[in-house]
Amino acid sequence: MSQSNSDECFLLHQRSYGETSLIIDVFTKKDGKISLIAKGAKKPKSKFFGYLVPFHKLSINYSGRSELKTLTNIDRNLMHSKSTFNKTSYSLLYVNELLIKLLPKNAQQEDLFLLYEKLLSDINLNENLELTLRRFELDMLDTMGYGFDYEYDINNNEPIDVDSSYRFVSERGFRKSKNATFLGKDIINLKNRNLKDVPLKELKEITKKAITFCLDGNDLASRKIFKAMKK
Amino acid sequence: MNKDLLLELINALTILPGVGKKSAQRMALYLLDKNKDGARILANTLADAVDNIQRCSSCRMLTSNEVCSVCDDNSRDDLSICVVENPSDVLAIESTGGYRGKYFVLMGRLSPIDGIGPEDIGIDDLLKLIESKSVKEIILATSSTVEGDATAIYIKDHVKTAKVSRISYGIPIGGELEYVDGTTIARAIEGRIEVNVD
Ligand SMILES: [Zn+2]
Repeated sequence: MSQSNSDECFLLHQRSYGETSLIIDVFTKKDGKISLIAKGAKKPKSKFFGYLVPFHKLSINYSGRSELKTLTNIDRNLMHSKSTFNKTSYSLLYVNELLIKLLPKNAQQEDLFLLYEKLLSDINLNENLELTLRRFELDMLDTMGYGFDYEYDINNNEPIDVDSSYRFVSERGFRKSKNATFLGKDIINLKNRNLKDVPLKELKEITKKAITFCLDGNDLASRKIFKAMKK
Repeated sequence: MNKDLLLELINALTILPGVGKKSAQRMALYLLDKNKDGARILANTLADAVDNIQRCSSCRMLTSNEVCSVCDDNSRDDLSICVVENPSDVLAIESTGGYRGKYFVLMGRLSPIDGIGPEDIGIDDLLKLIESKSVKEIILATSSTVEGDATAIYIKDHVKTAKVSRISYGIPIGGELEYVDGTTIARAIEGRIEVNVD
C-alpha cells in the first residue's frame, strides 16, 4: 500500500490525459503546487466529475510517491460559491497563470495559500478589483522572497525620505531620482499597503515590472486577453 | 534488417484513441487475413481524407469541399450561428436534428495558461462572419469549464450587433437529483426557466 495524503487545495490548471483522464495542477496547503492524475475524471459517472473546478477550496485525498500522484477522493464546500463566470473571473485566471508559472513544485507555501484563499473571498466583496489584485501581487512577492526594500535607498542605504522622489528598480527597491514622480511617502504607503493613497499608474507599473522580472521577462497570456476585453 | 510491415501496422494503429497493443494486433490481423478488400478501401479512403480534408472556409468545420455541407445547405438559417469548440460538437448537435442554423467551430477555447488567445481560435473570423452576413443570433455552446466560460464571455463582449445566448446546463433527462454533482445543480438553478403550461 502506498501512503495516503489528505489536504486542502485549489485547482490551478487541468489538461487531458488519454481519453478519459485528467492531469491536474493543484495548489495544496501542505505541499504547495503538485500534479495529480484524476483517472476517468472526464466520464460523467466519475466521482470527480463536476468537482474539478478552479477558485473553490477542495478537500482531496491522494496517494503515490512518484512525481505524478493519484487523486483518490475529492470533496468541496459548496456554500457561498458562485458558479457563474463573470469578468472578475478573468482576473482570477490571470492569478492562476501567475501561480502556475511562479510556484515551484512540491514546496510548501502555506502563507501564499492563505493569501490566495483571502483573495478569492475579497474579490467577491466588490471592493476595488484592481487594488485587491495589486495587494495580492505585492503580498505574493513578499512571501516568495521577491519583496523589495521599502526602508532604504538601494544606492546609498539612506532611509527613504518622505518628500524626495524615487525610481523603482526591478526586484530590489527604490533609488532617489530627480525627475521621478514617485515620492517617498508613496513608498511608505506601499509598504503599509495603503494602496488607495498610492498613484494608481505607478502602482501598476511597479507590480508589473517586479512580476515580469520574476518571470524572466516573459509576459502573461491572460494579461493580453484581459487588455483586449477592456476595449 | 528488413522492416516488418506487420509490426509497423500494429504500431501505427495504436495511435488511435482507446487502441492498445492488443486491439491493434487484432485489427491488423483482421484486415490482412480476413478482409483484404475492406483494408484496401480503408487505406485509400484514409489517404484521400488526409490529403483532401481541410477547414470549411466559412465555419471552420472539417470538410473535403471549399464549404461544408451545413454551410452549403440553403434551407438552413443563415442568421443564426451556433459557436462550438470542436468538430465533434457539431456532429453531436447535428445528430439531434433539432438545430437548423449554422455553426462556427473555434477549434479550441481560450486558455491563457496554455497560451491560447483569441487569435488562435478564430474570433476575428467569427466577428467578420457575423458582420458580413448580418447574423441576428449567436448561440454559444462552449464547454462548461472555466476556459469555456471565459471564451463565451469574451465573444459576448465583442459581439455588438447580434443577440447572444448560451446553451443551458443542467440535470440530465431522466436523472435523479441526488446523483447529480453540486456544481451542475447550482448551474441548473441559476439557469432556471419559467414553467409554461400552454
Ligand atoms: Zn461550414
